[in-house]
Amino acid sequence: MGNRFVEKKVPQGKLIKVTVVFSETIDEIRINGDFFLHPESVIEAIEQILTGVPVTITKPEIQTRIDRVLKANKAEFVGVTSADLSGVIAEAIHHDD
Amino acid sequence: MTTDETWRILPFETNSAAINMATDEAVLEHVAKKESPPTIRFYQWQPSAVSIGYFQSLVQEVNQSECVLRGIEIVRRSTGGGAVFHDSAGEITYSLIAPENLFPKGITESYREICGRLAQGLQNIGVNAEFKPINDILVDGKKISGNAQTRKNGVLLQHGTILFDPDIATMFSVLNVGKEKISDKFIQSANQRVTRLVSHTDRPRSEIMAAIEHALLCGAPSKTTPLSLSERKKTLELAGQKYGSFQWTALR
Repeated sequence: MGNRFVEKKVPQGKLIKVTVVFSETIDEIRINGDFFLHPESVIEAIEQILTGVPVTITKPEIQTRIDRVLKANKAEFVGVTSADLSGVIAEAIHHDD
Repeated sequence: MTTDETWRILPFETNSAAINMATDEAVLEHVAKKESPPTIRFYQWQPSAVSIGYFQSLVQEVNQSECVLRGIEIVRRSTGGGAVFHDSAGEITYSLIAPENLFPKGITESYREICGRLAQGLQNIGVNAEFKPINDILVDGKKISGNAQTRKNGVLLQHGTILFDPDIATMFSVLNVGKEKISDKFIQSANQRVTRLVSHTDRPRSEIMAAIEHALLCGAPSKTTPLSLSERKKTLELAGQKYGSFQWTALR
């Protein structure tokens, strides 16, 4: 149980800052940064789909979930990719790595 | 850009942060309803303000107590991107609001188109400006302009700032860049990465804005007319209920 903050500057891209509160599951997640996402409100849907999932979720599984939300909302990141974001989230929850 | 549709140029205005951001959204809504033509506006911030990107954390990015001490407003933008210090007298700010079918469909391509025009406008007055993806304009390799875009209901809004003569020390005192970074040494290194128009041209702001406006229009006809009454009403509503509210500013 705990909370963790991880930030990463994507090379040639933007900054991602992830804050997670977790136990055996992700209890709260907040994704911040200076990236772009069109439409912007989809960020809340991404945070929602990752809330309550077991912290054992892998990076590819995180990315699959994010990609599903992006596709359903015809949304697009600029300056970061779903792979970049998944990597930062995985780093935040896999605290023993 | 199209050459047959008449664009509207809004008269230059000086506003609070909430009114400035509300104006963009009000115009966007009216362009979406086809009640307003494609629009370009230049405006000033009074008092100086910090705007943060839609996805940014207020607490992480802004030194709020320093803003209060210096009388600097804080507003969250509807667009992504980074935190910006809008020095009242030290920058040029513009917004372009138009149907998105007037521009390339891809976000990156439309930045290239619009920022490319902006850089051309600066080149036309002898400033060696170039577009640097994703959303910056550089002069002699140093950043002079940051830009941000959103799209809603078929309308593209791009707003951006061009550094004219900003107070760099105040900029780094209100943006959370880490205490060690506010040293003279950091400000010196910032000066090596960021530049300003007064270092490259003697032209006044009004002439620079005219050059940028001309380049953004790219030959399209234009007419200077003010906001409609309906736009003004919507602006006041959005400034009061959204952009001026703590709930919105502290949204993330």
